[in-house]
Amino acid sequence: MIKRDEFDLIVSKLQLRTRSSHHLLAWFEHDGKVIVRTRRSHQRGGDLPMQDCIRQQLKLDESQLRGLIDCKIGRGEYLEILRAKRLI
Amino acid sequence: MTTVDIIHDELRSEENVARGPITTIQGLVSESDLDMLVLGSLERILVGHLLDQEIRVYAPFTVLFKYDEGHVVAEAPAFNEFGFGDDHRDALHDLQRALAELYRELEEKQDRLGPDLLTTWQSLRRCFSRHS
Repeated sequence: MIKRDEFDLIVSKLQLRTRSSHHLLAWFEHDGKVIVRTRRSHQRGGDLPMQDCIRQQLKLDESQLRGLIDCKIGRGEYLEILRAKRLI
Repeated sequence: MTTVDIIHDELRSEENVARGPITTIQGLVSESDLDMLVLGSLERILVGHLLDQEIRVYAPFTVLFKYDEGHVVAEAPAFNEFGFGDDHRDALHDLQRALAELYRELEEKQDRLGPDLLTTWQSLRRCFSRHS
């Protein structure tokens, strides 16, 4: 499970742009291009379901997602991950 | 595994089906029948409506159901989008709302999408369109 605070940490760390609608929409931009997007519900605190879904949408494996949450991976490293996947 | 078409009531009539792009129907059910279907081992359905007044489904899309940490997850693999809920109906509705949001988001940003989201946008356009 990914916690709501951890999702918000990812948003802050990766400088994701967000928009609030039925859910909180978040997307990653680089050089003016929208590269990946994800979302979470507006629930207050606690665990968010669909950790694997969020992870897939961010194009990360489990260890990379954990690294992001544990502050071992930052925006620079994330860019390299996306480049390696030919998404940038 | 059972595959059925879930067609919103307004599209159910034979006339509308014959006029639309759907050519293979394995079973027409309305959304109100969904409760009956979920009593079985429903894993995959085709969905023909987004419950959105502005965006229509031109071609039905596949939705897969699975369980995750006590929730039902509805996945539309063609668009890398998900919905979740306490049951199949809630998960499907959440997914339908998410797809409508995704369509609007990517439509707004379509001129500056990266390769992966561009592919997603093209997939969305093959299945959905704005009501004229």
